Amino acid sequence: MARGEYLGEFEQIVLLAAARLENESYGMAIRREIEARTGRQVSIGAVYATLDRLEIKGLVRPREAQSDGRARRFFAVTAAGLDALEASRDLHTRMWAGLKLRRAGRR
Amino acid sequence: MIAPPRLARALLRRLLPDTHRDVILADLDEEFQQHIAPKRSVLGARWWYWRQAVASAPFALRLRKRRGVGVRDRRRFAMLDETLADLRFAVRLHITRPALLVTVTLMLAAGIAVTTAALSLAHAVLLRPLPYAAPDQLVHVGERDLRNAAAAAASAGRNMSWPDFLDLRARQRTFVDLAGYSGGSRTVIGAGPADRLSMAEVTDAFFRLLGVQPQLGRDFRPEDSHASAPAVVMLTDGSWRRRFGADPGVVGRTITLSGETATIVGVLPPGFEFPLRGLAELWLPIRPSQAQVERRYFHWLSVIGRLRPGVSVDQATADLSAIAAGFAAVDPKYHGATAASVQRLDEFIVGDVRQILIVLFGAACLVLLIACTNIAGLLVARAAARAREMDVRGALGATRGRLVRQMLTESVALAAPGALGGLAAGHALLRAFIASIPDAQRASLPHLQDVPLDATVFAWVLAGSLIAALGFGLASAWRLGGAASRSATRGSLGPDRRGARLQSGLVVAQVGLTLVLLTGAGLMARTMYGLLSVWPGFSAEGLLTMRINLAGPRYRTQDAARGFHRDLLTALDALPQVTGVATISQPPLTGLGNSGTFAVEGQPDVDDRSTRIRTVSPNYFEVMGLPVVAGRTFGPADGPGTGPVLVVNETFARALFEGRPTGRRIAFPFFKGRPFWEIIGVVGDEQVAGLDGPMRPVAYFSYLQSPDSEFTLMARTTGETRPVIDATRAILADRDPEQPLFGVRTMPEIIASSDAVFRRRTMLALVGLFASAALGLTVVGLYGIVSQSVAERTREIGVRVTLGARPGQIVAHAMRRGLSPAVVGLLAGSAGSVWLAPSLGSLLFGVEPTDAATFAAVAAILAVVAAVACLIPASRASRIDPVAALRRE
Repeated sequence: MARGEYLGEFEQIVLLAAARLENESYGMAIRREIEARTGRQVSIGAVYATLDRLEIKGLVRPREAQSDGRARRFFAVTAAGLDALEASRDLHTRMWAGLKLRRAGRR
Repeated sequence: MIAPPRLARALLRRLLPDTHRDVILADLDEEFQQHIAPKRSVLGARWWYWRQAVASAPFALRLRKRRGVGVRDRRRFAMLDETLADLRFAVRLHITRPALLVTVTLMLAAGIAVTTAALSLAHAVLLRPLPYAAPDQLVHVGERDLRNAAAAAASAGRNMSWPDFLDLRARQRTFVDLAGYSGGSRTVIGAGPADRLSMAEVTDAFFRLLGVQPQLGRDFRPEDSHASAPAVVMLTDGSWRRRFGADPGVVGRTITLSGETATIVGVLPPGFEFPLRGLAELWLPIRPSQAQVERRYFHWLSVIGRLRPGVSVDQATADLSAIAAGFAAVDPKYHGATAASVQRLDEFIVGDVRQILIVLFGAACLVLLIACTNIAGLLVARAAARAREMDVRGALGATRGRLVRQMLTESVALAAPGALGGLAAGHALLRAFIASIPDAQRASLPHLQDVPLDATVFAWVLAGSLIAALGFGLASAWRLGGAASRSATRGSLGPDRRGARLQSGLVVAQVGLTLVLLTGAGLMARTMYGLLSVWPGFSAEGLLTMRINLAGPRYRTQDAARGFHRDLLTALDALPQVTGVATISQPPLTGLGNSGTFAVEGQPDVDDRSTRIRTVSPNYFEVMGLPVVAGRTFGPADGPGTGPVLVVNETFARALFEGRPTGRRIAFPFFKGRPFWEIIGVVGDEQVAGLDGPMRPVAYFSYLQSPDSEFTLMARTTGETRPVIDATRAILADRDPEQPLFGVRTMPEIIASSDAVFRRRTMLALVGLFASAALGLTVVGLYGIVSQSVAERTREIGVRVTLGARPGQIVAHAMRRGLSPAVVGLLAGSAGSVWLAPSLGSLLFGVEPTDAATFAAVAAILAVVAAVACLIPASRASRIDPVAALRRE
């Protein structure tokens, strides 16, 4: 991952879901994990398109395997992927450090 | 296992690249099954699957682009991508500037709605096969009296006598079988409160011939028709549900039918209908009376038949006519020269309603056509406004094909809401229209109980609107044809010629089509006016009709019936709201009713004359207000013990006795001993069958001399009718609670729902509606074209004003843009109306299809409306400030 290039929001979400699911991280499981945690409707197409982009960037690695009697494509988060997630979290932490949000008060 | 929605899956399969196809589809399938599992909701799961498929589509395309696909594929997907982009652009465009979208949607929806509704109706009634086995083989069989031309015309397809039917059935060689039916009503006790129900009587082969089997119980058997057989009855599905709560144990129960105990032996299947006895709830086997079995001149039985495979209607007619010709030898008196008439059953049922539906459908198509020309006009104008945008895009390298495709996509996006809205509105319109048809008329046509917007109609409309949409698109694309050459001349004085010609053509079409519709509406309005000004012989105002049928053993003797009749009339006469009350066997304007042939005293003993027959209370003529023209009417002395007397109407007197019938005596074959009846007086005519028919000869018998179990009360009332009806019910319940009062209608109601009036009023309402829609659309079109022309010519007009043109000249010049094509349209429309008006045919009454006054009036109205539609925008031209106009650009 080139310096200065950050993960997009949805990329980050997909990557986090894949990391959470570990050995169970195939497309539909990721989709459901995201729906369950964010409460937002996600299409399977969006998940796979994002995983595809992440794969091109080298952040996930696909692996075909049989499970429950059918072929599934599992996605493992690569070391670069983990780095990217951490970088992204660090970025957030740094940006948040010591910040108190002040809303415009009512008169 | 339930499969996911096929179409959604197939779409996704096509869109996904090989690299992802199987994996994604398998994932979706798996989760689809899990979606069904918890709530077992297949619908919910399918909805979920569709949403997933649609939401995934753009990502599938993205995946495909990223994962190298073949060159051909790539081009295809580039095109798909561009189309999606065009679509997005079009949707944004239409949403940000909704005026065009709203106008087009409304016009298209209106056009499609009326077309869909009319098409669905026509499809159900005219095209859907009758709901019987092999309906193509079914025919209606009647007799035809060939003694002279008048008799042949009057008797076409007349009913048969029982002996005729038996002879034809036994000797025919072209039919699988023949079956007879007849109708009437019965007082029913044992199925809720005592009620008078419509019924049909059929020969035992009737249902087998149609291929209809009862859903419960058994069909009729030959022995059910024996005179001594116990009474049995079958119920329709509707009657079974309404009156017996769909009780599966209903077979074997008994009910009382007009005093006779009958066993329910079966229930007809749901969806069974026989429009020729549409309202019948009870189906009974025919048990012909002794008189019916013996008398060959009693023509009371309607007959249907099933042709043998391969036999044509003509062959069957020839076969039966050969047999019928032989009747003359057996019965020369009533069957001088008899032939058979055979007609396809579906054609016999639909009759002249066919013409109404075709006219309606044609009118609806005209409206859709006008809407389409209007939309095309709007799009042409719009294309003109966007010519510069297209020029720029062309200059930037967009190919002609690319631009045309964009216009097409925009047109489809523009037409889609209108098409969908039209479909929904058409559905609602159809429902509302069918609900507005009186029960009796609805039941007399096939398939009207439940007209679906079926798949065929849906497909037609979809195809139609697509063609319309593409047509608009092409029209606007064609408008672009001159784009390249025009870009050089842009900014010159004149608007572009090609677009102007196209717009003029559209105006000609619109005005012409509108004139055709307006003429139709005008002719129907004249018809309704003519029909409602027909004097039926009596005043319908405040006239209430109520029917009674004295069923049961109490009224077997004539004296008992007479007593009840007298008592009832006396009680009703005492009601304060009733100014007079009489009875008649069948009220006027409700159909031809009974007729009889008769012989004249002192002439050869041949029953070669015929008259309509009514039985009335002595005061009938007075209550109805029929004038006494000659002689006298029934007096208190004309009773059961005195000589039989008759009153006849003027038409009878004129047609059969050269106007002087008083004192003549005639004999009817159906009275025991054939006594002679003396004609004692002549009264004014009243219309028996319908407002649009000729006056017919009528002979009136007195109820006192010829009592019958059934009669209709004719009460002259003041104020509300409800109290009179309630009081009559109370009086009746007091005398005999088992006698229901039925057929309660006011005379204005009878007139309004009669075939003669209802059909034409419906036509007038619908054609009028279509014509006003067309007129509105045309006004919009003309207004648009003139205002556009004024806007385009602002500079030119500025120049003219500067050079000294007067405001009047400017306005006239601007109006000419709309009015010249409108005049051409008026001429074309007049020609079209002359050509099309005869298709209204028998729907017209009291007006010729080429009535000059109607044509002129309608054309004048349209001309004035068109002139106003042009004048308003044109007058704006005269207010143009020349300085401002010239400073522009």
